Amino acid sequence: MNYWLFFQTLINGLLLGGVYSLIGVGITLVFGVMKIVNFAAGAYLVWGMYFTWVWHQVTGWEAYALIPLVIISMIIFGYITFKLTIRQVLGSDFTTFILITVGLSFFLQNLSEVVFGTSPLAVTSATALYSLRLGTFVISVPRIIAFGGMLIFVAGIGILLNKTLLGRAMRATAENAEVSQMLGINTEKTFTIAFLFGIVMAGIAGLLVTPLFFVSANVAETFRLAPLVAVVLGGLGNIKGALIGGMLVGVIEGLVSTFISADIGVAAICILFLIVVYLFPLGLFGKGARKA
Amino acid sequence: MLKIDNLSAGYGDMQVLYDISLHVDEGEVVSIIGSNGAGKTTLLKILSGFVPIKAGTVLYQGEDLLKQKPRKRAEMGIAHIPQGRGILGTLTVKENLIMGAYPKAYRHTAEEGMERAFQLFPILGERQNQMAGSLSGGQQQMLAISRSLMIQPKLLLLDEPSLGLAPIVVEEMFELIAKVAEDNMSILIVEQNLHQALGVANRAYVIETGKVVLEGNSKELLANEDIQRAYLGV
Repeated sequence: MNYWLFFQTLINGLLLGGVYSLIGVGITLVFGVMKIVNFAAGAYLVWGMYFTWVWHQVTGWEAYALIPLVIISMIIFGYITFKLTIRQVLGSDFTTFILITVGLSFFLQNLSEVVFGTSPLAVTSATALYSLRLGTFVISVPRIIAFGGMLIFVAGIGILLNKTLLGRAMRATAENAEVSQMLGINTEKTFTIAFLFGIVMAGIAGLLVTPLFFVSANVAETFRLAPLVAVVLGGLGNIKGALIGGMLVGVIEGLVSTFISADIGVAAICILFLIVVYLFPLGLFGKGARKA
Repeated sequence: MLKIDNLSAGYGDMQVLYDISLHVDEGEVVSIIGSNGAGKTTLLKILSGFVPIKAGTVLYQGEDLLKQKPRKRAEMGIAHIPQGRGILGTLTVKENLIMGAYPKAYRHTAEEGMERAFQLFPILGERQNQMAGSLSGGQQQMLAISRSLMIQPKLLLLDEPSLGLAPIVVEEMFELIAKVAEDNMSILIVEQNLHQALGVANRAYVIETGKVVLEGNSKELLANEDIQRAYLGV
């Protein structure tokens, strides 16, 4: 056993897992408030990457400086797509939402190919070239920034949910939409805001990975499965679960890719998923979903 | 204050309410009494805007109430304690109270509202940072009442306040309602527990299978032989 390679892979996996966590927390937030699983999060991530590329072309700034612009772009883009699709079927049953978000996922991915073409684009970045040395280990700076950015955004979501009136309204809506309306909460608005938060987090995840991946619609494949697995692993609806689930998935994927074969990294995620769901049907931190 | 005229409603082909007319005056406590399935809860759900009607009108302070979205009720001064109390168990006691003053016009009063609640029920003050779901049934009822009072409502709708509570707590609950009613608030209570409901109310309506079969002064109704036979088994 090569210990150096093991720990190096562990670090890389953990840091990439952080990106899964960020998307996963967005999915969890949407599920918590709306009881909808957003299967289109991976496709929104791709749009986050393309918006980063577009603004990079326009301004020439480093990707990280574009965060505010990408957030605004994602909010506008997300609002339009939400209004045209999910907003139309609010109040329907779960199957409708599965179909509509899966459909939206394919649509958004193909739309990006229509708009930007199929050849991969690159957001050039000076930081992409830097790496830190920790003893004998090498850690690329973009990965650390991605991980740190994830922690900041997740902590921000925690503060939002627990300390602000908007967050409390979201939690109230999540628990009981009817009672929330009696209290005067505009539950449709909270749904919209929760969904936009999920989209913005996917978009930010997209921005954070531009130094690591080429900008291309195919990236959605990479980020479609892993965050969903992370979310269910951690216990659907549990933010801490999504956070740890994401890192766990990243580490397992990394280790299997490095030590067995790069081709079965995704298969390893699925096997991990089956094992965890078999042992803990509610996920590692799940208390089970409560209805009303 | 609240005036319901010739109201009919139902779900699909099934009619639940037939030609209901009733009114609640300013500062008055009115009970609606009926057994399971009589349509009491449907009536309250119509008032909160969750069930559509087939015919009739509902006027609140002279305005058509049913035109308003459900969430506008709180702004208009209507508080609602639904069946099962409607406590938000995953929020803390304090957060439940804060959410009680959610409409913009009341937000700045949240602090004083909370102080009033803690004065009325010191136990809520002691437990303000606990999850509301961890409170006992009686304490949750206190919280539900305190939360509804956060907007100092003009009209309070109560759906089966005695449901699922121990008899002693039910008694406390109705003492509370009586106390709250002293503040010149209009209260509409829907209840199966005849004795308590008539004890606290000025007037009452008896509903059977969706129709108003009796109405009148509480004391008179309590003395009515038909009622005694049907509800008290005397």
